[in-house]
Amino acid sequence: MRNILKMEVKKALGNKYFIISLFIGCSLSMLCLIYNAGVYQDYLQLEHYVLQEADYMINPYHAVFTLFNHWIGGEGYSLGSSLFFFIFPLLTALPYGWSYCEEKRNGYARMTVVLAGKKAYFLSKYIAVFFSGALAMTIPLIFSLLSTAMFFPAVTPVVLYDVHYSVFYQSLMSSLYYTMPFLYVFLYLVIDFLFGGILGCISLAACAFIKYKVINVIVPMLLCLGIQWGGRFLYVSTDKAYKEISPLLFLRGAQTSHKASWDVILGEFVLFLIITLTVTMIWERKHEIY
Amino acid sequence: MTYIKAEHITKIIRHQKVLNDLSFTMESGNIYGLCGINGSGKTMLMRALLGLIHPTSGTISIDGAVLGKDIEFPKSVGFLLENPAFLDRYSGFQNLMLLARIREIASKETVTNWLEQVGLSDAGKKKYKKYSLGMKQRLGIAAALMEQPDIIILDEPTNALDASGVALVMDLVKKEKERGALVILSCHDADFLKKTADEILEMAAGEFTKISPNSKEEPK
Amino acid sequence: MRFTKILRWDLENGLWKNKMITLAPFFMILVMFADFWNRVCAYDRAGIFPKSSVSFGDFWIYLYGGMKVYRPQDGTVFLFPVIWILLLAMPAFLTLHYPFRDMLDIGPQILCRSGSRKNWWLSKCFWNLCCTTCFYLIVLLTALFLCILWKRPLTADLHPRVIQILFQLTDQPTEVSPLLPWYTFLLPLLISLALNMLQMTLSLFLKPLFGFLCTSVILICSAYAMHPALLGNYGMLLRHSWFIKEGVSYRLGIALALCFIFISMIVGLIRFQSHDITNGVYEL
Repeated sequence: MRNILKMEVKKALGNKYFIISLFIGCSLSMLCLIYNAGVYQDYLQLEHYVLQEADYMINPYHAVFTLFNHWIGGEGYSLGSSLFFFIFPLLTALPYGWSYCEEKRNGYARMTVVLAGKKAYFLSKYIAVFFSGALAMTIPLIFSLLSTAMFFPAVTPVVLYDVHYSVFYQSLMSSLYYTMPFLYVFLYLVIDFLFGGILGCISLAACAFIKYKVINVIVPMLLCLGIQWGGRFLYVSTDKAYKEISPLLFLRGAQTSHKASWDVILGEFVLFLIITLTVTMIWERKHEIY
Repeated sequence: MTYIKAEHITKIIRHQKVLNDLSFTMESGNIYGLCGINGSGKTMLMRALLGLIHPTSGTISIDGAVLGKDIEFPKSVGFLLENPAFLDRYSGFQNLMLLARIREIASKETVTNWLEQVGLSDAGKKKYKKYSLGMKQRLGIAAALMEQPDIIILDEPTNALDASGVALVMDLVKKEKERGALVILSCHDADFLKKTADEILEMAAGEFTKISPNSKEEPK
Repeated sequence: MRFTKILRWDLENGLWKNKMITLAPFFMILVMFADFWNRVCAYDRAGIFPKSSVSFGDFWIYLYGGMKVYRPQDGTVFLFPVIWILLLAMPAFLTLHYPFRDMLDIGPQILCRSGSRKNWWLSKCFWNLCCTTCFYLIVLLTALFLCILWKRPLTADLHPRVIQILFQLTDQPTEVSPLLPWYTFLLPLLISLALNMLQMTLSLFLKPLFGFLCTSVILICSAYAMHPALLGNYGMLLRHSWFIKEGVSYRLGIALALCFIFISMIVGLIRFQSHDITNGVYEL
């Protein structure tokens, strides 16, 4: 089991699609940074221009411009962030979500199953796909956090400016955001890590029913779009406060539409986990491999 | 009379020469056997002769018409490349009919007749996905030969075939030669090549290492 | 003559046998209408607008309206229009795989028998255009059918108040013509055709998955920024000049879409002439 797991993880993290996925993710992080740094620069110049006559000091730690609302996961205004949080299901499945489909087709799966056993093969495949998807999601986010930190001060957000952060009173972990923002970001990275992994595994589970790699890789994205679309049936009233059900929206550290909540996030994660594990570890294991 | 003339063809894929300065002439009424170790360039050469890939340099002409310039594909060709590939949801007969409909050379009767010839008369109605490997190979051979083309290219035609299947292929190939077709086949079975080919071309690293006329001595 | 045979093959295998092309738009519109009607009833109950005033034109805007112009400086977070994205991304997804699958399995047999790469590629282009048109027609017919079933007037009448509420516009559009102009029925189709053709040609250079990725990026960029060069804007009815003053021109949209279709066809044709067909190239 250890050997096959090692081999699968190596295959998952060492292939060119993992690199391409990281490259696309990090490029979008850069796009986001360029936009935000531009806005910040404009602000500093404007403030400097307005105040230079009045002999005031410019406050470079103005809480509106903080790291926590300008990294890719903490804002919803830039094109980079909008693109990343739309295509991330593709990026999580791209590294290795298709692998079982390929191995089934070229006979590699039956060879490995005979050598290592079905349980070891499917479990190691599942873990490898999970990690590749999770890392493909999280590394660009960490890259964005670090690169943004080079330009923006990590000022603790001030509740007074909540509209600038899109983290409101009822938002998920809002008290943490305004007191321990690094912990807030860390917890969001954990959530994104878990969802990145599980979305990759949805692609793996889809291999049980779909024999074309390219379709398998797109399945998580269609699923996420479907969930967001489904949400429209729930959010009818303009007066009620709903909970966000779309991973395309609740995986951001900033509230986009409706508030994120632990019960929905954990519920969806557990549901996906059960479905993917059932399909991969029970359904596919019971099936004959030709 | 059909002939293929290749002049200094080289194919480079990802900085690697898969075909290296090959020149040869092939004429109808002959069987040319390609042999060589795996990865020596046999299938790539066949793809080039079919017009599926374009040589990086050099030309291939068929009856004087340059492939990729005057013509895109050989006008009358039948082939089997690597593993036969057909549509899973159709039967063997339907798959052949779909192909036959494009040129409208082979009629329904011809297709049925060819299925019989390759030993699939009973399995013709069975879905392709239920075929065994050997049956798929037989169907691939029928697809290559059913239109009685001038040029026949068969890549490993004896793969997955039992002894009777190998004898059948040998017989069919010889018949095609007698008809006047130009047959190019690749095979790892030296014995098979010795018994069928008029000329054997050995390949290694994209080059011909040996071209020898075959005496066709029957093994004792 | 062989072109028609290949086209027949493509239409038979890539359209007729591909049930998803017909079923997906039908079920999508069924669900979208359910959502639309659910909202209309809710607004009717709340006394915002009467459901009796809603027509086919309103439902059409609901489907292909897209979203109002996004301005990040307004302080609102970008939220992409999921219905519009689905209606344009779904045909792109459904037409993504077939041409490249056909190049792998039985494809070389067909290609050699066709005698010409040009015929093969042009046949795939026509197949793509037919599939997209078919998808769009099913959307249109299902929408009409549902409006008949729910006894909604089959007119292209627009109700500014309905649009304002459905798309959460801050001001009620007052300058809107009371009827949907003819091109609001043509442009979504043309944009979808242009995007799918572009995707097919890009897939020749890249791989199908990256072709789809490019389509997704174009759609999101179009929703994010209103720019005449971003094709998706012409497919969003709320971004047209008949709806907003600074909106995009439909004439330019039609011209651009036709250009994209034609250029994609030609570029793909040139690319395909020198394209090597080897096993396993189009797996992703």
